[in-house]
Amino acid sequence: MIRFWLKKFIIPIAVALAVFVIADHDAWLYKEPVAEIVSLTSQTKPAHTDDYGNRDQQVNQTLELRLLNTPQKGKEVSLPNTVMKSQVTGQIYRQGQKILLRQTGSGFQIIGQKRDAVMLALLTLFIGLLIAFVRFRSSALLLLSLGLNLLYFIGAIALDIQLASSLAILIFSLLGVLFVASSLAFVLGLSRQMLYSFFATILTCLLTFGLAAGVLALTGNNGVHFEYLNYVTQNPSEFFFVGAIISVLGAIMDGTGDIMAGLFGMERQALDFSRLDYFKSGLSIGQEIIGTLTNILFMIFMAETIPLSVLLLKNGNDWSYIGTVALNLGLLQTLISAIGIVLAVPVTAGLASLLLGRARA
Amino acid sequence: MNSLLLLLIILVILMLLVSKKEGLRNLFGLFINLLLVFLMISLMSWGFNAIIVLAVSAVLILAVAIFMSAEDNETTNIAFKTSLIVLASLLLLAMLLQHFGQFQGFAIEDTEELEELSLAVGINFSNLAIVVMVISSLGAVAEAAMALVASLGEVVEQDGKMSLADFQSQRQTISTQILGTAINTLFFGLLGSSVGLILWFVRLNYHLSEILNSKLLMADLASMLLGMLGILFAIVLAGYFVENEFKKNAKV
Repeated sequence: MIRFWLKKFIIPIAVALAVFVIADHDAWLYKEPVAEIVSLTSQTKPAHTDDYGNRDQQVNQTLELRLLNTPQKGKEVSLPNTVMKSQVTGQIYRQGQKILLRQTGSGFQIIGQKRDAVMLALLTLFIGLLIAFVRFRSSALLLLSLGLNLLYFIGAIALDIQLASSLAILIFSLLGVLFVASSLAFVLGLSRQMLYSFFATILTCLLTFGLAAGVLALTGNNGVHFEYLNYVTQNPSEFFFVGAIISVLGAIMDGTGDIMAGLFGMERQALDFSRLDYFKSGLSIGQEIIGTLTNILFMIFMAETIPLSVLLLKNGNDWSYIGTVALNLGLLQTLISAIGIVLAVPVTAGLASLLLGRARA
Repeated sequence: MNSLLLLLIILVILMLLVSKKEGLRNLFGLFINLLLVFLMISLMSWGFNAIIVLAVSAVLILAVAIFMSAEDNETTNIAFKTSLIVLASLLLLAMLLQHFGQFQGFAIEDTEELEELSLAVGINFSNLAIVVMVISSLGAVAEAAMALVASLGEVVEQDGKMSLADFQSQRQTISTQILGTAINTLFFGLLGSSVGLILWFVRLNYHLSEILNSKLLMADLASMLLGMLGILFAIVLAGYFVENEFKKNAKV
């Protein structure tokens, strides 16, 4: 029992903690100045009421910093930090935190908190637990697949920057195909199951985006506000589709993968199944996951909009305005994804019944 | 005609065609969850403690997501039990992450969006960051648990004479595959939603150190990793529960 806990939990957690401590002291890796908050004084001003009757307090901090790298290592500087207690922007600092600075002439300016240690520790914890609970070979393949996908992604970004986004949709669609092929090959190996899942995913994607583009063209983008897309450096509507293609692809691949996994499980059991049986079983598995898959996407999209929705509500806006500004594009993407997930069920079940049924006969 | 409305109509028709009665129930479930999320956001904006509101609404959202999406009692019970345990551990982990990572609120990249808004709203945005992390992994947890229980159940149902060894090998195969695809979904979700931000960073010549410590990108990454951990816990726990059930049935 102790060995079970040791192997499954204690070792991964211990390794994650070690990574945290090491990464917390990696300031020497940085070219930009990093400093530790040695001490600080905080002063909270009396409550202040804004135009909408919200009461908040301003916090004025003076941070005593010691530089941890660059030739000025060891130098002590003092910097002010002003933030509202609600921390809508900025943050209230604590003693011992490490922050990134930017040199401005003779002085320094705060860029933000150093977050690499906590992120690396979290990543390590995930990898450790994955290896503890899943066969080593499978988890190593999965991690390798994620790493490769990240590399393709960086490649696509670089290409997009090179071409000044003139072919953004094409580049990122090809990236999508590469993602699907590579991920499925790593999870399933170069098997029939992988090949069928690949075709089902691509077919569903084409149908979904064909349908979505058709609807948008037919209605002339009526009620869609591409202008509210965040962080836009190029054509917003094109850019919406780049993000949507990548996100939706994952969800469709997920649905297709689950259904194919179930059907191939039945084939492995060597049950005497007709095409119709496969189709029905596929639909039956699919029906159980449609709801939860749409829920996943819906939850991710809603979660991301919570801070902005709260802020807009507190600024005296009503839900219809929030719907236009904060929820519009997320809703569009969720609808497209949901249509994709639903379409994936008959497409996958149909394809599997045709191919598995014939292989049997 | 409004594009969103037309897409919604198409979605409803497709759902009804593909999963008939269940489709209707799914849509009803989504609608209830939409209301729950609106209610949750409203309660938070009225100043209720965000963590308590989160805990209560998360349980309700999971219940709706799971019980509204499948009829089979055994499947949904195991999935729900699993999700609740996972939810509790994710909530603790999210609070820990927020303490060290400080992912709250908006960043300098959001300046345009925040123009003309009052930022002194008196709501604890640090708690909202925890809410975002937990809510965004909720769906993935429920999905992973459901998918595993449903697929395993389907296999068992098709073969009444299955041995425990057969069952365990099926459990392992299906677990690994669902884990793989679900984790990929979250990963692509992150890439898709942050592709704009990443291009922004590259175009505006951010230093690598700024990108890797950026509040916005790291908050998304934290949500994603939390979701992946949730999927892992859910698959392991749900598989354990189904196996217990299988052993019990085999003895009878």
